[in-house]
Amino acid sequence: MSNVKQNDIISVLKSEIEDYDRKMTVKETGTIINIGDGIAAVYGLDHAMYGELVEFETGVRGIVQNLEQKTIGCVLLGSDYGLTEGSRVVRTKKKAGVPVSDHLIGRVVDALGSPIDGKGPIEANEFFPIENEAPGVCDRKSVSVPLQTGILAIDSMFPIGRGQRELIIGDRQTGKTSIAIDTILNQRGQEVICIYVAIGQKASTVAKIVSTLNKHGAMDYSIVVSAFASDLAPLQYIAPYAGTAMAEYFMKRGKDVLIVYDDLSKHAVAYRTMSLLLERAPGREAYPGDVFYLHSRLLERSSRLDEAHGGGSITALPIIETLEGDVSAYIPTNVISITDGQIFLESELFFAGIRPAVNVGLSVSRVGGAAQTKAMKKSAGSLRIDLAQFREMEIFTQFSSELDRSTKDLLDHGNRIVELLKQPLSKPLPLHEQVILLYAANNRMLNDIPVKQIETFRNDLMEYFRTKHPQILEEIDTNIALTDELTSQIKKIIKEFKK
Amino acid sequence: MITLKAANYAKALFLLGPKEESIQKSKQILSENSELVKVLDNPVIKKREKEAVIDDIFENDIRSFLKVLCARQYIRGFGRILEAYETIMLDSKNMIKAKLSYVTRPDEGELERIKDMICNKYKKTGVILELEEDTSLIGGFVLTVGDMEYDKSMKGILSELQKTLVWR
Repeated sequence: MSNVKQNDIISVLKSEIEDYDRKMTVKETGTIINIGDGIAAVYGLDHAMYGELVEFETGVRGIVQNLEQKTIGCVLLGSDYGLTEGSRVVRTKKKAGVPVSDHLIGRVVDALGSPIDGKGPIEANEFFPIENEAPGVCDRKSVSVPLQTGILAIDSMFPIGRGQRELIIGDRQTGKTSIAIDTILNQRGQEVICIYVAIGQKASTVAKIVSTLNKHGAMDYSIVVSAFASDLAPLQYIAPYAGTAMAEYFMKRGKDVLIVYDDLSKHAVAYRTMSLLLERAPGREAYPGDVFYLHSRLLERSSRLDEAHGGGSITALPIIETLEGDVSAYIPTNVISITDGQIFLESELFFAGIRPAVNVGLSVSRVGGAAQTKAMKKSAGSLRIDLAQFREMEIFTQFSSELDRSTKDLLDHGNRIVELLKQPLSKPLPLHEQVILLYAANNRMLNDIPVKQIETFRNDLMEYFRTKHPQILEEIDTNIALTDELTSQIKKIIKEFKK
Repeated sequence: MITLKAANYAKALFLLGPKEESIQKSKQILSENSELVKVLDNPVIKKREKEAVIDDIFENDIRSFLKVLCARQYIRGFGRILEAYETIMLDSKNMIKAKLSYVTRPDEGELERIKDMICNKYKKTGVILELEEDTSLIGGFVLTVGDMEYDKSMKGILSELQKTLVWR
């Protein structure tokens, strides 16, 4: 067996060498005049293009980022060891890109698409540029197919559609990544390829996420692209673009892709580092002037293509970390204005035990409503308004002891909804369970259950449905709409269960 | 190696138009007397004293330029400036500089053909061809004209072949 392999390799090498066309190679070269902090100033290379890949004499590659009169500024994509003033630089006449193929699924790769999971090389025949034009207006289709996150609070009130860009924003330790990971876990069997892009994160955090995905079998349809905190700023800068290039490969083949950028705050910081080292003028918060364009050109590539272009989609879940809940800082406002809505997570709610800590008032989904299933729309009903009224009344009645009946009912109902929306980690709910629970809550069928027993009631009720009435669950999943007949049946079963 | 700063100074020197022999003499003095460069570059020594030294040693038509370099603490960049100056001078004469690295020295006929090729390609009337023997090339030659490098050496072929074989 090994002999056959050796012979094969030798014959391939022989034919490659024999067929090698010995032509004169013409290269455009330049010289390093200054190098440090992963940035090189190169004299010459008069014809180099912005974003072009250049090769240094040690084999390390770089991307052209600054074009000046006599020099160009390059960011290095590897170690600067062995490079000094006077080292040679050669143009490649290629744009920076990543190798793409179906074999990427299930793998953990770095920002350049090279495997870092120790599972061997990845076969790839195509090369996609990391910077690519977003699909045009005529190539796009409006968002109409839902992307279920499996999180009751989100699917009911801030639905996300395939091709949408929904921002997850909040302070540190408020469960931003958990929402993204739960969404990935819920895509099992949904024909969605998930790409998780870790930017500037600790290697231990990424390892933990990969093990969570592995544990729940989510790596079967996922790719993890990682630029660790220890990686060079240029690698952290290109990581989300590389992830998007991979997503585009699948989208162009008519597949639906979910991409999580965790997180774009660190991406902006990496870009700021790069820009300041490239001696670009700093602006607000020392970010360069094009930091808005940095994120807008990235997120604009998420879209849903029409049938003529394959009908694929890229749904983006960018994550932004705020400081002390300040959403009016530079980067948060930029990304809020770019995306099609945001899920705002609050520390106060998180520490009060309301998890996911979604702030209902500040969260919104601008286009997802069109993608929400009829069943979910009907069962969710006035959930958001009820919760808003409850929050208002809760503060108003904090110090009053005597309450009238209607206010008391409102508070009771609100407390039960809040309890119902609490959801543990890595436990995404399927659509039918969400529909039944919301139906029960909105029809005040939980009001006679003590708040502390809501969780047990919920679990037991769903178990009852699964064992005794699986046909109802199937019907919700297949019909998607909630007919009057179906609602009366659900109502009857819940009453029957309560007895 | 030319830098942007050196290129800008070279442009000023070209516009100043000193005699070629003044430039060459200054180059010789500065390259042969490293102590003098140290003195002229020393910020502790007074400007007046440095200017007196320049007045004593250098030709009249280049003195003011050297005084500016002293004041801007860039006398060490004089070599680079001259390198850039040479390019500007050649440009003004519609000429170009090229470098040929070889293993076996080409005969005069081949050199003439190379010069003709460069003149035609870059639309110049003359070429200053610098010749250098480089045995590390194994065989063939490498011609460098400005930023462009025409590699027909065995070393280049092997490195390209290596890239083709290891490319994923």
